[in-house]
Amino acid sequence: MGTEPLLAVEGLRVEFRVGRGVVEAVRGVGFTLTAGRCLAIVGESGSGKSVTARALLGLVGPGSRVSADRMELAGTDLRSLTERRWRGVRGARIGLVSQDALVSLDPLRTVGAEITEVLRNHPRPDAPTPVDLLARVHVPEPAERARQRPHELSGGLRQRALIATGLAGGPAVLIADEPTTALDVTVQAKVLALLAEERDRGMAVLLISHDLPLVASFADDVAVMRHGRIVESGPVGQVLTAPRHEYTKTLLAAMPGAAPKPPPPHREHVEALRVDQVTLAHPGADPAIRRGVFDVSFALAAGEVLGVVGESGAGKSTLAELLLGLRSPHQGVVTLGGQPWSRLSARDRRPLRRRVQLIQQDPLGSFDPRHRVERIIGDALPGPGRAARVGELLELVGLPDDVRSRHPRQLSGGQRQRVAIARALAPGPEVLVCDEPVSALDASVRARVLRLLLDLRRGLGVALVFISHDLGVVREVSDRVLVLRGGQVVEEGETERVFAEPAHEYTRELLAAVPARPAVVSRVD
Amino acid sequence: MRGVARRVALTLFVVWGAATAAFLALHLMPGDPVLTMLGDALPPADRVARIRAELGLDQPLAEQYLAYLGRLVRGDLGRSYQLEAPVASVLGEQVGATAALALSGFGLALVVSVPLALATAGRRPALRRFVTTLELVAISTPSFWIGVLLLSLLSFRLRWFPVAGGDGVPGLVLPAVTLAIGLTGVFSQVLRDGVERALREPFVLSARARGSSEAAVRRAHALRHAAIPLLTLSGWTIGTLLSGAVVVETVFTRQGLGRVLATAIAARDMPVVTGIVVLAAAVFAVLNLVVDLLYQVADPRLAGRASPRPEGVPR
Amino acid sequence: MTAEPTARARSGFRPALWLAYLVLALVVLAAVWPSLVATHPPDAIDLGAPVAGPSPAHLFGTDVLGRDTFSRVVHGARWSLVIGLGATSLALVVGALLGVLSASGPRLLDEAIGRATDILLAFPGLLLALLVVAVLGPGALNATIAIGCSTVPGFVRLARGQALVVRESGYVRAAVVLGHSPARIHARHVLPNAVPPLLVFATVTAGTAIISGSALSFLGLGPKAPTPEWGAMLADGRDFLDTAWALAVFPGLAVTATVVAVNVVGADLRRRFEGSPADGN
Repeated sequence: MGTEPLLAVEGLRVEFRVGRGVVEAVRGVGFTLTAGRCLAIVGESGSGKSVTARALLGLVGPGSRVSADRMELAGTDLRSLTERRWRGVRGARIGLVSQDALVSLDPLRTVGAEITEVLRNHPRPDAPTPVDLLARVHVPEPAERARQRPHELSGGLRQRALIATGLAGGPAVLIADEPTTALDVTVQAKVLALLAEERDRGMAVLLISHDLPLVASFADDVAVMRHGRIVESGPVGQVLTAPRHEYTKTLLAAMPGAAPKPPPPHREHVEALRVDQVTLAHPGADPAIRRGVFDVSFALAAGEVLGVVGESGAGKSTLAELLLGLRSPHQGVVTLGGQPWSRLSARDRRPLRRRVQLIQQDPLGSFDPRHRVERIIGDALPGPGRAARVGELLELVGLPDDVRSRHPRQLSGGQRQRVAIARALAPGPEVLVCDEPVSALDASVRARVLRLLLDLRRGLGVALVFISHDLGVVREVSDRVLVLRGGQVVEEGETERVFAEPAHEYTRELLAAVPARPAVVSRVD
Repeated sequence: MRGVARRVALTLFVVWGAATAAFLALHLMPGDPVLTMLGDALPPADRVARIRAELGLDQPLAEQYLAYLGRLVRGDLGRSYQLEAPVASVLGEQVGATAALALSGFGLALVVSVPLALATAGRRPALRRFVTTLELVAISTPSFWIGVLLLSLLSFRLRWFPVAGGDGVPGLVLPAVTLAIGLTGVFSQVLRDGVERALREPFVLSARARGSSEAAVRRAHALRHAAIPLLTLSGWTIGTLLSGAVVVETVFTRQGLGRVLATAIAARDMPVVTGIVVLAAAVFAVLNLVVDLLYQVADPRLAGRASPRPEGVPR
Repeated sequence: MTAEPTARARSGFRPALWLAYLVLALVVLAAVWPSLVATHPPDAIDLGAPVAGPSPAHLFGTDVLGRDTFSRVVHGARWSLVIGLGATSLALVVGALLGVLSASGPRLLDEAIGRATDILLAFPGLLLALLVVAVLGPGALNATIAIGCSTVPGFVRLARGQALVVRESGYVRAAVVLGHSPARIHARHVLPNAVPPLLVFATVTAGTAIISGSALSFLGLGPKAPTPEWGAMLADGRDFLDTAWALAVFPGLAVTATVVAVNVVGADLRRRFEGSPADGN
C-alpha cells in the first residue's frame, strides 16, 4: 500500500446563508486519506462532520459557500471543478454510502436499477454487473435481490446494496456517513466487516460517525470534530488512550462504562413489581413471525435497576406496555405492590397508575404541544401547592427554575428529557419504566441523563426498568439484566455476570457484535 | 388480492349507496312528482292518477325501491318528464361529448403542468414566483368566468372560435382550455411540491453522489415520487372534471351530460337528475378503483396493503 | 444536517399579503354595510341607460335594466360570503363533531359514520350539491346547505384522523399513565389538538366554497332573480357578450379577487400555525 495521500484537504471552510446571516458549519478543516486506511471523523450532531463529507463530493447544497486552501484528489484539484467534471468524480472516484438504506436508496426503484444508474453514469470496459457487485458485498442470491426494492430487503441486506452502489463506479475513496446507524448491533458488525474488507483491498475509507466505540474498533486514524473544527487527530490508539484535548476527554468519559459505576444502594429486598408467566401475542399479518411477549416472568425489587435488552422486534415495547398497565396480558399476571395490577378494570387501575410512570424515547412527542413546562409538570401533580412542587422537581432534575415558562420546543434534547423525568417523578412513583430514554441523545448529554437517573434511584429509591437496544448503556446502569429475543427471556442475571460470562448463545452473539471498547479507556479520567 | 376484493366490494357498496340516496332524493322531494312532470297547469285528477299508477307511484315505498333497484340493474333509469324519452338513451347520446371534454381538459392540464413543475421546482426563483402567482389566480378563478371571458374575447371579438355549440375540434378548444386552467394550477402546485419534497430526500443525495445529472435526478427519481400525490388527488380531479363539465357546457351551450343535468335540475326533471348522478357516482367509483390499482404500480411499497385514500385514515 | 438553509427566504414586508388583507377587508365591509360603498341602490332601474359601458355615473356600466353594475357587485359581496363561509362553517362544525365521535365512540358508530361518509364521497365534486339543490330547490339557504353537504365528508375524515393521531400520541400516553380520566384526556388533549388542523383545512376549502356558490348561482340555482349575486350577474351578462363586455368582466373579477384574497390570507394563517400545535404529533 502506498503512503502517498490519495485525498488531501487543507483549510476547508463551508458557510451557509441563513436568512440574512451566515453560519459557518466547517471552519478550516484539514486531513488526508491514504489507500488501504480508514480515517474516522467523529463528532456529535451539528459538529460539521457530514457537511465536510458532502464538500468532498461538491454536494453541500444550495445557499452554501465552500472554500479550501487545498482539496486535491490524486492530482485533481477539486476546488475549481465545473458541475460536469464534478459528475465525473462522484461515484467514479469518490463513492458515498449514507445511513439508513431504506431512505438512501430510491424506495420506488429496484436495487439493481440503482446500481445500474452508477454503471451508466460511468461506463468502463471492465465494469462489473449489478449482480457481480451484490455478490461482492455478500448479498445471497444476488440475481434475485437485484430485482427487489429496498423495502423488500432486510436492514442489513439493503445497507449492503447501498454499499454496492457506492462501489459500483470503481472509486478509490469511499465515504461512509454513519453507515450502521439504523441497524441492530449484530447487523452492524457484519456491515463493518464488509467495509473493512474493502479497506483491505486498498480502498481509502472516510468514516463519519458519532459513535466512538464503533470508530475505535474499526478505524486506523481518527479526527475529533466539534463546532466545525478538528480539535484533535491522530492514530486511533493514540487519540483514544492519550487524548490531549478536553473535548476528546469528555467524549471518552461519556462512553458507556468509562466512569466507575456507583455501587447499588443497600436496602431491604421489597418486591415492587412482579411478572408471572405473562403472554401477550400480537395478531400479525405473517403467522411465521410472532410478535409480542411469551411466558415472561421476573420480579423487580424496590430501588433496583433492571435492564431489558433486545433487538428490534424482541418485544421490549410490549413488555413496557404490560408493566404500565396499558395492555392486559392474554395469560399470566402482573402484580404491583401485592395487587393483581393486570387484572384490574381500567377504572380500578386509574388510582394506582401514579405508582408506575413512563419515560419515553421522544420527550418532545410526549408533551402536549400547546403546553409549557409549568403546565406539563403541574398536570402530573395532585391538588394544591403545585407551583412550589414544580420548582422542587425542576431542581431535582437539575434544571433552572426559569425553564418553567418555556416551551419544550425551545429546550435542548437533554433538557427535554429532564422535563420528562420531572413529570414522571411528580406523582411519586415506585417504578419508572424507561423506554429507550437516551437513544435520541448525543453521547455527552446521554451520560449526564444516565447519571441523573442513577442519582434519582439512589436518592428516591425508585426502581427503574431500563429498556434499550444499546448494551453499553444497559451495562452502565443496570443491576440486573434481562435479554429478550422473539418475545422470550433467553437470559437473566446480575449485569456483570451476564456481560462477563453470557450463558446463552444469543447473548454471546449480541456481545460479540458490540464494538470492543478500547481497554485503555478506563485509564482516562 | 384480498385487498382488491375488498376494494371491489366497497365500490359496489358505494354505488348502491349512491343509488339509494338518489332514490330517496326522488321521493322525499317536496311536491308531487306527477304534478311537477305535467307542468304548472292543473291537470284532471283522473289523468294524474293514471300516470301515478303507470309510474308505480301508488305502490308502497319499499316495493318502489326494489323495483327501482331492479330496473337499475337492467340499465333502465326511468323516463324523463321533460324530454319525454328514456333517461338511459338521453345519457347514451350525451355521454360522448362530456367524455371528450373531460379527457381533453385533463390531458391539457397534465401536459402543461408537468414541464412547468419540473422547470420551477427548487430553482429559477423569479420564474418560480411568477408561476406560483399564476397558479394561485388559476385556482381562484371560477371556470364559468374564464369561459365567459374566452367567449367574449376569442369568439365574439376575434371570431377565432365558434360562438355556441360547434362540433369537432374547433368547438372543443375553448371548453377544454376553460376546464383545464383550474386543474393546471392545482396539478402544477402539487407536482412541484412533490418534486421539491423528493429532492430533499436522502436517496437524491445518493443519486447525485453517483454522478447523475440534475435533469436525470429529476426525471428518474423525483418525478415518479411527485406522481404519487397527484394520484392521491384523483378523486378531486374526477369531481372537478365532472362538475366542471356542468358549468362549461352551460357557458358554451355545448352538448353533454352537464348541460342536460343543469337544465333538468332547473326543470326538476328528477329521473334525469338521479340518472346522471347515479351514472357519475358509478363512473367515479370505478375510476377510483382503477386509481387504487395504479397506486400499487406507482408505489410498490403499497402492494398488498390497502392504499391510502386522499384523507388517508386507516380503518 | 442541521445547517441546511431553509429554501424559502422570508422577507418582513410582503405587499401582496397586505393587498390580500385589504381586499378581504373591503369585501367584508361591502357585505356588512353595502350602502356605504355603493353609489346606487342595487335594484334602481334606469331605463334610459341600459347595457352601457363604464362611465363616471356608472363606474362599471349598467345591465339590461339599466341597474348600476358597480353597486350590484358591492351588494353581491354579502351573498358570496354568506354562502361560502356559511357552507364552510357548517361543514367544519358538523365534520369536527362526527369525526371526533367516530374516532372515540363505539366501533359500530365509527362504522356507520365511516360508511355514510363513503356514500357522500361517492358523488364527485359539485354533483352532491347539485343533487341537494335539485331536492330542496334553488335559493341562498339551500345552496349553503348543499355546498356544506358536499364539503362535510372531507372534514369528517380529517377530524377522525386527527383525533386518532392525537390518541396515539406520546402525550396522551403520558396522561393515561398519570391516571387521568378519559373525559379529562379528551377535553384537555384530544379536542384542543385535533381542532386546529380543521381550521387550517377550512382556510383551504373556504375559497372553493365561494366559487361553488357562485357557480350554483350562475346555473340559476342560487338566490332568486333580482338578488345581485356575482355568479347570477355573470349569467345575465353572458347574453350580452357581443355588446357589453363590462357585464361579463366585473362580477367575475369580484369573485376572483375575493377568492385570491381568501386563499392568500388562508395561506398566511396556515404559515402562522406552522411549528405550533397544528400537527399534533
